[in-house]
Amino acid sequence: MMSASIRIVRKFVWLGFLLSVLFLASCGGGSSTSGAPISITLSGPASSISVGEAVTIEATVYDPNKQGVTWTLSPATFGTLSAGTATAVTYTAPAQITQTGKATIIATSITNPTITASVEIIVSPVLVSLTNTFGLALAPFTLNQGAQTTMVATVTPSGPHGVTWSLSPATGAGTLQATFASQALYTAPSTVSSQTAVTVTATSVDTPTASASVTIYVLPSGAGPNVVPVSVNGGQVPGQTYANGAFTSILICQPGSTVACQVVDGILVDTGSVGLRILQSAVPMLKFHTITDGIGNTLENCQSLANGAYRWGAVSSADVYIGGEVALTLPFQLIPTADAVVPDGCTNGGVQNSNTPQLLGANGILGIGLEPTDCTLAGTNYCDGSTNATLPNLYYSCAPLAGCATTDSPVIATTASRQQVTNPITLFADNTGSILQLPVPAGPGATVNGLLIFGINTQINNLLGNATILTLDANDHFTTTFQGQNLVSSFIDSGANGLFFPDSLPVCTSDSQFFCPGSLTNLTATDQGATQGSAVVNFSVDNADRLFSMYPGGAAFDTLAGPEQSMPACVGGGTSCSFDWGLPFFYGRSVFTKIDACTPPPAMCMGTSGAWYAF
Amino acid sequence: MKNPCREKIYSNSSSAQIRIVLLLTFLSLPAFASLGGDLSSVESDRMKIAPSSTTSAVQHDSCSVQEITEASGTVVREYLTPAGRVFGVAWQGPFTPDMHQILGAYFDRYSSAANEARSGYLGHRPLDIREPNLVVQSAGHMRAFSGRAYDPTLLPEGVSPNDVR
Repeated sequence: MMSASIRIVRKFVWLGFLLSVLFLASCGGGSSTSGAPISITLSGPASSISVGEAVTIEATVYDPNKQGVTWTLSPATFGTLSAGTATAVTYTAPAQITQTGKATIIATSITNPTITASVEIIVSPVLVSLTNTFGLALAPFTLNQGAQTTMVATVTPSGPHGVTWSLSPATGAGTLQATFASQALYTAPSTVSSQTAVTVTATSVDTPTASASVTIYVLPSGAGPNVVPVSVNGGQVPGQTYANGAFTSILICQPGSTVACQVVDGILVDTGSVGLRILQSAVPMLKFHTITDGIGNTLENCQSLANGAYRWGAVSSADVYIGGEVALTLPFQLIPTADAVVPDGCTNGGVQNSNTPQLLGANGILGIGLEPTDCTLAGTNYCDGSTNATLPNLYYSCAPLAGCATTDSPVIATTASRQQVTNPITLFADNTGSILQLPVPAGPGATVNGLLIFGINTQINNLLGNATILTLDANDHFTTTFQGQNLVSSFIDSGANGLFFPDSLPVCTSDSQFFCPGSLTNLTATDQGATQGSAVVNFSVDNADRLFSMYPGGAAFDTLAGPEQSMPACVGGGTSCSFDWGLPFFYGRSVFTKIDACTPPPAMCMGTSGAWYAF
Repeated sequence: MKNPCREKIYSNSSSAQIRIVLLLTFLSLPAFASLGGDLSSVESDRMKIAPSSTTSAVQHDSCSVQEITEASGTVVREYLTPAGRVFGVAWQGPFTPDMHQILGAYFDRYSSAANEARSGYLGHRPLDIREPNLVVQSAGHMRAFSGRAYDPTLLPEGVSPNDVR
């Protein structure tokens, strides 16, 4: 099957190879004395090669002046040209590359440099992949101390000698034993005092520059298929740092496939939104089924944010694996890089679409908030036509080629047809909610490694225990009392990178979105559930400018905060007054986010809606 | 905290006012003026819809407020000067309001300031714009948004920015 498809590809490229030859006439004024046309025809044995391989390209030149060609390579540093003569050259592919690339070799007539011919050569890297014994690619995962797991390495194209296995750090990482057929058995250390990261690497023997690694987080206890590592590490976007962002990795597959898959790192964990949103540019090789209506229009999804930004992309379907949990045919938002025409109802704020890693600050957003879909609130679905309200600006139906118009109106999207962007957890085996668990940073700017645990009260490792439940009102809010203010629309939101609340602290002159007090300021607030639960929360606010300048590129800042309205606007209350407990709130806590669904056991369904927080 | 605008509407709300709000909501026409706009635009819309009814906004010495519920469920409150000019707008609800509509002539400045705010430190957070002629504070998360916008130079005497909420 695989070799057949490769053959087809090669034939196709060979055809393109012939067609790429240019027959250009020198229509007078050239250096040709006879005035007859000059032609160049190129040939070579292969048009698709692996890294490090060499091919010779020959030129058949018709030139009355009996001159040959000169050779150039584009991109100039993608491999090398050698042994160039007037009619032949040898191209050597780069020794190793991370993804498939293309070299263009150009022959230029010496007699008339305006006459050229070119040939394209596809260079494939040697790739090593690591999978579990079911053939699924491995993203970072958790394992209890003393536990074992088997991994499989595959080299493509396969060489005669397989892989070598290695383990780091050199000591205290457990043991790794190569078994057979490129498999290895990893045994975690028998005891670890705290979460310990170890890295397993498989390296191709034939192409030592090709390797694959996976990081395993060994826990003293509590690991399992429903537990994945998260890291506040500044994010994955080169050249920029995302402060207070909790990132994880997912495995995303074309529906029904376990091979057409990709591990995507740099996925922001957001308990303040619902649904998976992925940049198309982060999964370039995958093709996802988009949701279409009866006449073939594409269902597009809009997420508008409070800050005026928006995210736009087709509702698509994928099988999404996170740790040992799977959401099959999950409706998610696939954000294209190309700028599309977006309806005015979505671009509302007029702020740029977040469609690149630089703008999004991530490769994707894992929205695992309180609701089952992105258009539900406390039991009401605003997008499926079940309420009388005018449809909000979430779903649009657009022609597949022409796209949307700025004047388009929102359309109905139903959950029955899996059209609404859905909280992935609702499709997991452990579907009641999640626990995000982060330790206190060692210091300002430190990297913090924590856990995301799926399910609440579904396994021995996700029990509520003695955590305090805060029930919520019909808007999914609780009340925070702070400095004499009743902030009745308060919420907990791992996707916000600071604590945001109304206070008289000075804002930074460089960026009024953050506070810049003269010195570290200690504060206290009380969170009060709608019908039950109360907790006193102590926190500190430091000068954001000082934090960012003293710890450039820093990841975790537990004292980062900013204004949300200005004090004392909320002393008298007001429904628009809120305390946004962003990621700093999660440091040193296990925060439970229970999804709104009154599923058994009944004790899990509390308050006005079935959604609640606990910590 | 005393809020002159809020107080007034609670004490003076009338059935006529409620009726107008409902009519405006049902007909989905531009139901209210924009920031900086004046009551005549509201009155103009109102006259098309309910010519026999009385003025919807309740006047007060320093300001008045009218509350409109958008069809999507988001509540928008407009604060007007005694002369009927909109000096502030506040909103709260499951969906972001139509910012073009509520900000009117201020929209372009809002848009450029919001883009500029985004070019600061990376990450997701509320919006806080503080310019001499425009303050916008917008917060919340999916299915729960709130915010306010006002022009500090238009605030009537005796009205604090804190009254816009």
